[in-house]
Amino acid sequence: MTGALEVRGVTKRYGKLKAVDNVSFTVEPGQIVGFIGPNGAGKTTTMRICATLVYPDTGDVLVRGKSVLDDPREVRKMLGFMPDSYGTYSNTTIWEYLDFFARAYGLRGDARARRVGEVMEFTSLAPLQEKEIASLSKGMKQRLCLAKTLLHDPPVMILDEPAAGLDPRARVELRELVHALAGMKKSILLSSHILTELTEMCDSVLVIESGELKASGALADLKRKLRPTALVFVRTLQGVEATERALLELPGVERVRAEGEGVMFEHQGGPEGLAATLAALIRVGLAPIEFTPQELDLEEVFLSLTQGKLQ
Amino acid sequence: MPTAFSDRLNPILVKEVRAALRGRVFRILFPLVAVVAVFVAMINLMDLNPARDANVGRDFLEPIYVMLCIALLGIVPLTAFFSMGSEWEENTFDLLSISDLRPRHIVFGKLLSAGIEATLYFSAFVPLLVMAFLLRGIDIGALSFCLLFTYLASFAASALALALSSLSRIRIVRVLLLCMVAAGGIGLVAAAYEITQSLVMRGASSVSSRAWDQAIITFGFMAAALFLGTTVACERLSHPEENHSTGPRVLVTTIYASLLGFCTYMWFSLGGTARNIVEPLIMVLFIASLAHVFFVTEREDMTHRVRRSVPANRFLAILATPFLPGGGRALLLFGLHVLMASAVLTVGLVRARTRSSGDLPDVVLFELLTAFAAYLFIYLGVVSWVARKYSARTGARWIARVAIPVTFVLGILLPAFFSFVVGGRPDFDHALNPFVMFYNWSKAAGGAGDKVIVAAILVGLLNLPRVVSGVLEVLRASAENRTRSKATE
Ligand SMILES: Nc1ncnc2c1ncn2[C@@H]1O[C@H](COP(=O)(O)OP(=O)(O)OP(=O)(O)O)[C@@H](O)[C@H]1O
Ligand SMILES: [Mg+2]
Repeated sequence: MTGALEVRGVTKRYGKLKAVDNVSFTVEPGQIVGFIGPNGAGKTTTMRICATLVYPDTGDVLVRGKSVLDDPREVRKMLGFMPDSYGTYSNTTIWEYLDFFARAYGLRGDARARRVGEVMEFTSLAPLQEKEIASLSKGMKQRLCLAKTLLHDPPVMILDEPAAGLDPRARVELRELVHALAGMKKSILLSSHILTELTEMCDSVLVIESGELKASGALADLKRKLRPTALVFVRTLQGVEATERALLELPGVERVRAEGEGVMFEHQGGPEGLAATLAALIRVGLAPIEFTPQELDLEEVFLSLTQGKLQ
Repeated sequence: MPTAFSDRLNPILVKEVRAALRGRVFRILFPLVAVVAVFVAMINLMDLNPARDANVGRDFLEPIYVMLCIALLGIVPLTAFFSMGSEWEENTFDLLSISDLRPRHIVFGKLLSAGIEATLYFSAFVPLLVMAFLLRGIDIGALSFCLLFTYLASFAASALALALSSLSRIRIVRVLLLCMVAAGGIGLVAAAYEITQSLVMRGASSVSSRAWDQAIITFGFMAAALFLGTTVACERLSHPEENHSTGPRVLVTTIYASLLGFCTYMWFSLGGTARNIVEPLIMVLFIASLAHVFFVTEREDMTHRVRRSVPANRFLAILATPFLPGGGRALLLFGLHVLMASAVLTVGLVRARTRSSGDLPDVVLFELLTAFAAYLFIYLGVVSWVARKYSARTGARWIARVAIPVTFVLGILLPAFFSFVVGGRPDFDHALNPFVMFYNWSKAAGGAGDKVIVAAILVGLLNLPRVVSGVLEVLRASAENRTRSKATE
């Protein structure tokens, strides 16, 4: 069995520019995959190809085994796409908007009323259903768009920058909604500029730049790949110089340098090596008050994977 | 509204009507039009003098009818234009394209909402129209006819407005298109007024049968506008990489075949010389070549989606080739159309053995048709051959489309102009003008067609690689689809 969303060697050119260059990846059911890349990297183009809005020059995308080139109508039935510039109609209330798209997706009679109720409940829009869309805040519009995307209950969802322009509170709410959706075994591909958001939201990430996929995998794997050595900050009661001297004697310790009131060093030995180092420091009579392996944050992963080339 | 009924309504229609009821345009414009109409009617009523004029109703009707026309033929199409435009401006079109709605649902939904709007305006005017009738002097038949005409014209105009609105998303172009819709609206109001003048205002007794004939032709034009508008709008709304050509090609071929059939039928039933059949056939071929201007300038290669729609069966694929998109393949379609005309001519000549003495020999008739087709082929073939490399670009396609008729007109005008300036006839003697050649031939009973036909053969050779690669592309796609269908089995 193939993945829920399978992108196979997709390339899309605009004139001379390769907006997407031989990109392949798979999203499994229930998986949340984040899509990161600088502006113009080709995220939106890739997502629009998956959503049948743009056809690839070469390659194919399979949504539950159906090809976007052969059966675009079948694919649309199984796919919820939320574009980055979502549209809303003027002079239309939340309920009318959702009712319209439910009709557009062929929902009839009671089934439609029920489904519109469900998605409004899920996105907490039910109390606002009589409000006109024009009067909604950005966060509310974003939720409305998500509700619209959920109407036909698609197993695969593609969200283009869903967190853009949301305040921290709305972002947290969005994250909870996305997790709830993954809990329903939906496959979710989402792009974002807010990197810390992706850390909390995604099981794995895809890094894309200039149309090429630079790296992919679970975040922890990516970090390990980028920095095989652990970076540790240590502070002892005995002061910087004594600590430095002691560390230089120990096996596996590299690049020792003073930093503020403590010392920073790199170590290659993995968790056991770090434990041994700490034990050795105590053995030589130092009293550590801080011994902290530094987390590599996503921002750094991002920066070190992409060269900051802008297209 | 019962649910079963509401379910069957077009979703776009439901949405548009709901939004309209809430919207500013409807809430302000509609009452405004109604109030102004009543106001004008009142003023008008005070001015009327039944003692002086027996046909008071007509004077009363005139301003009311003009206002009704402005609403139905001006406001309604403009609303349709903006309604289509708002889908681009509010970025909702992508959302519609990924739903279950097809382009035709969207277009018909918008057209129906325009119809509902027209009906509302109409109903607002009904009391005033009834009053006009009660004031005497109006033939009810003629009035109903005019109202029906106006109402249907409103649909046709809205369809054209939708088509124009779907043509471009570029702001400056949209402003131009909007001006076209507005100008068309003004023209229509004037035309409607004219027709009413001749039908209602002069009284039914003076309405000649000729006026009714014209009215029927006008209905024909409206039906054509409605058809054209919805077809163009549907085409424009479907994805640019989908097949936009096969439908129009089949349609044009069908219309072409019916026109050929119609010509032969008329000829058989009316009788006439053998020459009388060639002239209409040439005319029909000329009309079809207008569509070919668009076909031969299409982008040469098939998009991915089109490749997959090629029949897997090799034989069917070859049969379908002239109908698949691409400029090279369009030349095949042109050839097919010429063959159809020749076939009709052959049948006609075989059936019509009785000849009048002044008739031209069969060979000359064939030569006339062939030479005329050769002319058209040269203009279509040369320009599209020059443009073929750039045909993937929209701008280049449109330049080529304009260039074909322009070179055609220049080919006719320049030698004439040249001879006028230089004085005396240039040697080539209107060689680029099919109509002059045609005229000379029918006088001189043939000859001189050879040059054109030779030139057409050269143009054919020039285009041969393009046509061959067009056919090979179809065969490759067919083979691809065969292996794919085997793989899925
Ligand atoms: N319709 C188009 N015509 C021409 N070029 C395009 C088109 N759409 C995208 N591009 C180009 O393709 C490249 C990739 O664009 P894309 O929108 O996919 O990037 P992105 O990763 O989504 O960027 P952002 O983070 O700014 O949203 C860009 O250089 C863009 O200019
Ligand atoms: Mg983007």
